Amino acid sequence: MKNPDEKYAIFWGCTIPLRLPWIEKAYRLVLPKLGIHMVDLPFSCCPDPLASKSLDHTAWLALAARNLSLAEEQNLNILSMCSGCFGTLKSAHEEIKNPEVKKEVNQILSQVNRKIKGSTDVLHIQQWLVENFDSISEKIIRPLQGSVASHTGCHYTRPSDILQTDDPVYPEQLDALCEMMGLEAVDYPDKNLCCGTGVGLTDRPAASGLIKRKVIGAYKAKAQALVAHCPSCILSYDSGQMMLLRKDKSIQPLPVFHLMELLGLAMGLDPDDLALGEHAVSVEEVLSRII
Amino acid sequence: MEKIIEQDIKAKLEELSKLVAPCLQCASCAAACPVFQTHFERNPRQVALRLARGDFSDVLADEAFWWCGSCYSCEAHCPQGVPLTHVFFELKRLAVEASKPVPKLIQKIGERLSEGFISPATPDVQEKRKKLDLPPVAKPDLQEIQKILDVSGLSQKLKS
Repeated sequence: MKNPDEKYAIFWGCTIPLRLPWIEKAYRLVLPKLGIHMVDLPFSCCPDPLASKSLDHTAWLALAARNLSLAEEQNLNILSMCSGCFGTLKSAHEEIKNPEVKKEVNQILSQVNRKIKGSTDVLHIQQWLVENFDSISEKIIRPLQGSVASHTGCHYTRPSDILQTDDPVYPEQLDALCEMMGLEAVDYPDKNLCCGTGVGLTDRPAASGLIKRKVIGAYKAKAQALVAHCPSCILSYDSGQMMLLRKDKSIQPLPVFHLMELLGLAMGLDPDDLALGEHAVSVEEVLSRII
Repeated sequence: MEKIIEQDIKAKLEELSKLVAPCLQCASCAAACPVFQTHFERNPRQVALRLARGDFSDVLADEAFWWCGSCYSCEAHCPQGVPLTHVFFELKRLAVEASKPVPKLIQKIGERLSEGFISPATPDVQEKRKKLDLPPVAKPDLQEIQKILDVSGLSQKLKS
């Protein structure tokens, strides 16, 4: 299905609207400037590609299919703001291409008077940005300065046979987007290390260990900030890092930006319009150096 | 729902054994695994080895698969294309079906599905959304969600 006029059903997920509304603010300011028409639908949790998928495959798939059917009713493709939601919904979209699976899912959906054809495709916001790279680069009116460490995260690229986005081991897109905004994207040893959200479900200290490795690696590579786009990764590196900083004085605080905040700034948004004061690790000092 | 019986468990483990059969034991999975980075005793290669050898005696009992964070790094690095993250998912779901213990937070997330969203809202989120001039969060149809959870069998599994 091809979306007319770049009109998409926006999939916010749980974490952005309920825990990190400052990310939603950045999206709602920037997406219209990029020419995206946002449609909000009453989606539920995607459901998550970690815990829910571990408990029961049928329920996970049927709940995802229900979400897909809401967009399908409106003849819209889904644009996902969250990598976890993207992973679930794109995987479900692919699984439903199997007629046997679709039949089984539709048997469950029929109990709530729903049906899925499988026509709604799922796109992640970073895919859209990459596809529209040239037109976006023309909108960069205030190139940013300084160096950042990009973190693509796990569920944007993997499982790569299904998601088909960036390289699952050596991702390059986020660096290219940072460079488009004028920033230097540093190379660092743990660039593709998981943020620890999945690990943290069963082992919190192990997740903290991963956050620490990431922050130290980026800091040693002389990055002034981390850049990510997945809300779970942001939660790990922002609030998770804050918790770590309270106990571990050996770490230098490293601010974390959401990609959309930087894009907004590079497109000339007033920093006061963004909710930059909502970050757990303060971005105030680094902000004065990058714009 | 009828409890999964021993024979079904064995049949499923044999299926998984076939999936890991091409494993070379090269440990690329371990090198790429974020869990292994902090716990050397949690080694995905060893889970693959036991399954490949048909050593099923305590695969479900020692719960080694629950620490997998589903990042798919092992699959991305495997030179033999072994779908190890998928195998871990299958082991977790098999343990749920067999009514083995489930980590608390994973059980909790399953229970929250019926509320529409699994991430708990921060206490001040409505106030913050207002301050940021954001529209109210669209409310999902909870009756539909409950029905899907019941029909698919997850509600029952969460109770047991």
